[in-house]
Amino acid sequence: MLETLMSNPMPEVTPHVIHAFARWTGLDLTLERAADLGNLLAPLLRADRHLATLNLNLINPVGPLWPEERREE
Amino acid sequence: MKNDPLMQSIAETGRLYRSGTLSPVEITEWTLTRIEQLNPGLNAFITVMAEPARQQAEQAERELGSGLDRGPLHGIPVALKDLIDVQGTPTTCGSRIRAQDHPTRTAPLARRLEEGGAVLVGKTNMLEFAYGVPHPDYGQTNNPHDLGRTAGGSSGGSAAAVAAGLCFAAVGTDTGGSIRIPAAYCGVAGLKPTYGLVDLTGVFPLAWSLDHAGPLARSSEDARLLLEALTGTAICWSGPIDTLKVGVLRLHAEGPEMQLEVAEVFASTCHALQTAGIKLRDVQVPDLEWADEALMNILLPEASAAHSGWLQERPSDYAPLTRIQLELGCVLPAVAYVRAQQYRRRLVQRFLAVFGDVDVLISPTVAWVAPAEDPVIAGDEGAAEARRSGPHNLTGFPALSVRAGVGAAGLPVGVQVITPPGQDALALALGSAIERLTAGGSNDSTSADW
Repeated sequence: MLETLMSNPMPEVTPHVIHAFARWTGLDLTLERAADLGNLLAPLLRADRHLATLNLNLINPVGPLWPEERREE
Repeated sequence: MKNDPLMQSIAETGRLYRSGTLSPVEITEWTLTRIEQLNPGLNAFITVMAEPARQQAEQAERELGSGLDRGPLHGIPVALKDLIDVQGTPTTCGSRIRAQDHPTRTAPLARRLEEGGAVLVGKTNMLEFAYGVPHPDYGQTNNPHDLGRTAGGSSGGSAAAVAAGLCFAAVGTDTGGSIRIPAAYCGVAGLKPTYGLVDLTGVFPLAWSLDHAGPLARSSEDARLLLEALTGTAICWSGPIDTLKVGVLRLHAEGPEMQLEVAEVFASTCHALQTAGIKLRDVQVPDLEWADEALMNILLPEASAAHSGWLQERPSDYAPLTRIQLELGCVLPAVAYVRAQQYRRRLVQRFLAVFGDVDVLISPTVAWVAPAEDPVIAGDEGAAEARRSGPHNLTGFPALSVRAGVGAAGLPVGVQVITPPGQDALALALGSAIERLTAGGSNDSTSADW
């Protein structure tokens, strides 16, 4: 499924979509600013698609980064 | 410069204090005079705390004279990046938004320095909110080795002040390389300690899960003394250096962005270590190539969350590029953030596996010497600048940049030393060895010679 995800072209993130997302976070952007953000957002979304191929699955994303006993060494 | 009392080590200065040859009041006055002379060109300080510094120096002199010894930093001029709270002094964060902020409390890390008798001479310039660009109200910190170039970011003021002898050591913060990159550009030592080792209470955040505070100094040994004062714990490596197994982080030792002069200094450093009997081997860390992206997908939304109120109320008070980065973090999907947090935990496991085979890792700190201006974080050049430092913010492992040589134009080149978590002392010990073996690329002088 992930291979399919990676090989399929992704839909364009339009200024209207970004404008709407921003509004949901309380940020009122002009469509022009939203368009500028779109150019910067696309590489981040592509990067996330790459991370999605790493089978990170059930790795807990919160809590200590390493087993606590390492700190005591 | 060799006999310049403002460029000598912290330990030597302390010896001269205790023998009565030199006094904290003298050193502090000379420091303040040098700041007055050189800061207009360097732009390293936002606030000079001249009167409080004089009072602290007088107190240190009285105490040392009466036999009360607070330790290695007693009477030593130290600077703080201007996102660290000191009661009664503005914490601007290099921004217009916080220009009038007057904290009512002193950050615990600064309080520790005060309790250790340090003389706090001022608050240093930085990229706006430590986020990639200087705000036009403050401007860029210039590099003491070439005033036409940046000192680096975001702790550029701390690095430039240390390199030019405007203080003996300084505190910076590091979220993707903000201690180590300016340390490399300015030719000083800069340590991003183990995540959580230095208390960040009273330090304005950039991205909570990636932020670290740590020392910048003219040597690893001076950085060690500052780290001890910041943490209140002994930071000491007593093991041998020549039996260490050192891994060369191959992916970061090369790359299309690597300048030839940096590659040459790094190769010379490897050769010097081998000549000293230290065993080197190449190592690969699986999945490391995704670190640039993961760093941004964590840093951007965390920073945007911290700024959401001002972003709505005072957007035009940010520098334009800071504002765009903050807006960008607002529209990144939450799953991208979570996935990047999962990735960094995978990366930790990858690095710990490598540290089963080697004791220490080394790489260049940055692929190039100081450029004219700092690149924007959320861009290709910004990603390339932080490519060798950012992964260690993801893992939280200690990473130290030390001066290992100079490039063709006489600009410093840094080498990075990375150790397992909690082994900050080992990083500093190997850093000292590299400084000794390479002589930092010769004892060149900075523009501060004028």
